Amino acid sequence: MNKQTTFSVAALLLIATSFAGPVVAADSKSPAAAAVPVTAAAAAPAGEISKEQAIEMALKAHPGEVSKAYQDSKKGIKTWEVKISGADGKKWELHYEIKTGALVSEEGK
Amino acid sequence: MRAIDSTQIKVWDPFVRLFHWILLGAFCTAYFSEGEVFEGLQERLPGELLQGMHVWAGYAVAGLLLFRLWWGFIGPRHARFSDFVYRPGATLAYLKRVLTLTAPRHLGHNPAGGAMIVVLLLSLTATIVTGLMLYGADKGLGPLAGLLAETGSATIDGIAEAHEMATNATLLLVGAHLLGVVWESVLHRENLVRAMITGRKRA
Repeated sequence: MNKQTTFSVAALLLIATSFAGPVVAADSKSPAAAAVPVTAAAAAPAGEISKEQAIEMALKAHPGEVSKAYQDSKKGIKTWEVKISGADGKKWELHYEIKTGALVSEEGK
Repeated sequence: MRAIDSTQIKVWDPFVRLFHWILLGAFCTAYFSEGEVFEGLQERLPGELLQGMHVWAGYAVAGLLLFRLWWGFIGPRHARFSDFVYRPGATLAYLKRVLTLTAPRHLGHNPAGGAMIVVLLLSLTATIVTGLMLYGADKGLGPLAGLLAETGSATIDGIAEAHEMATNATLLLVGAHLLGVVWESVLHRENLVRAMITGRKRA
């Protein structure tokens, strides 16, 4: 085996091992997401809310401009996180549980 | 293939070089995806993607740190801690000579470079540990989720601050590391960046 081949093999091995951890982690944290794909338009089970609904609820609580809204997690609960640059000058972060629409966390800084 | 200069010798093994450049890539990815400096760009990308990038990059850094620790004991000569970790007194004496432009050239890491590696590994470890704690305490994900499930919001804020401080300390050290590389490259008239790519240095 020449040096270049050794280097390439080493490169592949290292890249593979560095990413082995996150793959396992990603698998272990999202079994629910894999089983029930959460899309806004899908025929959702009763109680489940879409990202748009979460944004609507967040804006009602804290009027302002939505800077980001995405699927996140809070204390192991799958949530929609909505970030708002509030009309009150504060930056708000709200988490709504995807399954029930319940407010999980609300922080203003 | 270009003929290799016979006066050049192999110093950095492929794993040390890969470790170095993948670590740089992973750290930059993590910083780009959550660092406040890039907030403007982040707002244009999906939050799920940024979150995923940050966590993956963090796990990659964690894996790389574990690998480097192991390689520091079983790797080839210049990869070993025993080759580049000097007593603090010797390191300070070397630093003095660096400043007076009289520092001797080392084929492997010089005492100052060796000390830089140790503090960089430590500050990266602090960044990773606080990151994993935050991931577990706040989001309830990752290996520490079970352990930190009951963490209150004040503590979570403290962990977030510690994570940020460790990141900034790492950035500061990276700056000092770059300064050291340029300084030594000029002092000894050799391209140390290229050496970390090709693995070869002048004998």
